[in-house]
Amino acid sequence: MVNKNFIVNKEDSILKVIEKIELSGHRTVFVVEKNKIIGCVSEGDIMRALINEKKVESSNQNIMNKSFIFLEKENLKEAKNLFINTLSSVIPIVNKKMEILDILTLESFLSKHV
Amino acid sequence: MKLLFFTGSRSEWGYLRPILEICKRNRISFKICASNMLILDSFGDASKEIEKDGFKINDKIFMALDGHTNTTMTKSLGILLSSFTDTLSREKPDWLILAGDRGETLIAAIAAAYMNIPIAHIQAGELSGNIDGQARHAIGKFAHLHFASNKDASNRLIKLGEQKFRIFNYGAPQLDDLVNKKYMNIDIKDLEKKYNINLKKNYIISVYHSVVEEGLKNKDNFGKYMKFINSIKGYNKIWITSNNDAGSNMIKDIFYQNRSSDDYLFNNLPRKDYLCFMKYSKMIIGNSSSGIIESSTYKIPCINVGRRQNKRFRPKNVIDVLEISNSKLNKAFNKSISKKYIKSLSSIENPYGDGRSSLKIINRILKTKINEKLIYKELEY
Repeated sequence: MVNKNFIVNKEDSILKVIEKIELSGHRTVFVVEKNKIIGCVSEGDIMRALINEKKVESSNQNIMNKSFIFLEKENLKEAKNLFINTLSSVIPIVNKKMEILDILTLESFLSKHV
Repeated sequence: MKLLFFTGSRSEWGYLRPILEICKRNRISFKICASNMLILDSFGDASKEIEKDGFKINDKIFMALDGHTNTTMTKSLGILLSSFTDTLSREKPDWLILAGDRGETLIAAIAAAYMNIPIAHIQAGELSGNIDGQARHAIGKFAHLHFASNKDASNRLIKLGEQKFRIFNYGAPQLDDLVNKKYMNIDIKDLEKKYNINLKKNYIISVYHSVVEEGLKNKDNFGKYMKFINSIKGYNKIWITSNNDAGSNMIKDIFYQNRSSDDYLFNNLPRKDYLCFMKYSKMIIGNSSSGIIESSTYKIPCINVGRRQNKRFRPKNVIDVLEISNSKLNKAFNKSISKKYIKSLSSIENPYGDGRSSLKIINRILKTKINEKLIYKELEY
């Protein structure tokens, strides 16, 4: 079961995304439509949106990243590389159809493997 | 001499950038006006890449209304017409330089022509399959200098009644970078690391834009196309997001609904990364002009789908699939991966340019006298 705090809809406002990021305890949330992941929004994206004077009430779909990292299964080597290369602390795990199955957080990864 | 460059999409920027580099090196005074997709976050905001390349965008005109229907697209063009007129009257350029066949480019040309500002049109005279093709010819009617990228296009301009002294066949400036190997020193491993993709696995590039006048048929066509791409096993697929023409929302919805884990989507790759992806890919498929104009430099197959690039002058690496169906796409795909076909591409040359187009174009513009003969066009037919 995916932690709902990591999931937003593309119509959700930037404000709502900020709330979710706060609840998730991480810096990125994922935009999901019909159970498929279509993008992600990070704190950095929100900062850039605010600098560009975007309204916090506007929907997040214009600031979401359509390119994002993901894994098909929790693979120790690939996950480690992704965490190191991207400095992200969360990686979504998806199936072949890009449906979101789980979210791998850095702390759960470390507690399991280190 | 004051030059104003207008651009509304990343593909046009590819044409203009090599020319602007020459201007910068030679301290030729210029300004850049950017509009439409080029400055929109939701299309990857290429203006940041332009600024990273060391250019300043002097004027940004936001024009695109959301909705991406034929109505919003047309209304958006109206917004550009009134805004760009102000830009021209403020900047008073000696030349407006623009490229390609997009609606926003036509609008920029109309504004300049009615204000008696000479227009230089790059990539003039070609045929393209959808409403862009009509826009390109219409831009030709307003332009004062036509820079064609091949003989076929320059002949067409003459047939369309343009005066010969205005027409120059100088090749496509966007190829200058490719031909001059400027971007060839990127290591595929750097790309792998930057984008976190396994490029050891074979991959193809897919770029598919909506075809404006096909309306709801876009949904059907793209659905079939996507289904076919999904059926290709053993390859990663690198997708570049479609532009914001009417019908693009339908394409995005279908993409997201059918996306699989070997589909990698990019909003807007820096040009050097895009070219590097292309260089190492097994083929480019879709309906982008990049496949027609650029891919033959890298001697990779291009499967051109549908009518968007209809009748455009083609290098020998282009396999056309006019009517989108699984069996026809499959046949083209199998041909493109056959050893015999790939071998046949090893000796092809890109007919769109010799790598020196930009210099010829800018020299011609600077040498052209701005006088009545130039400004008052006589249509030969």
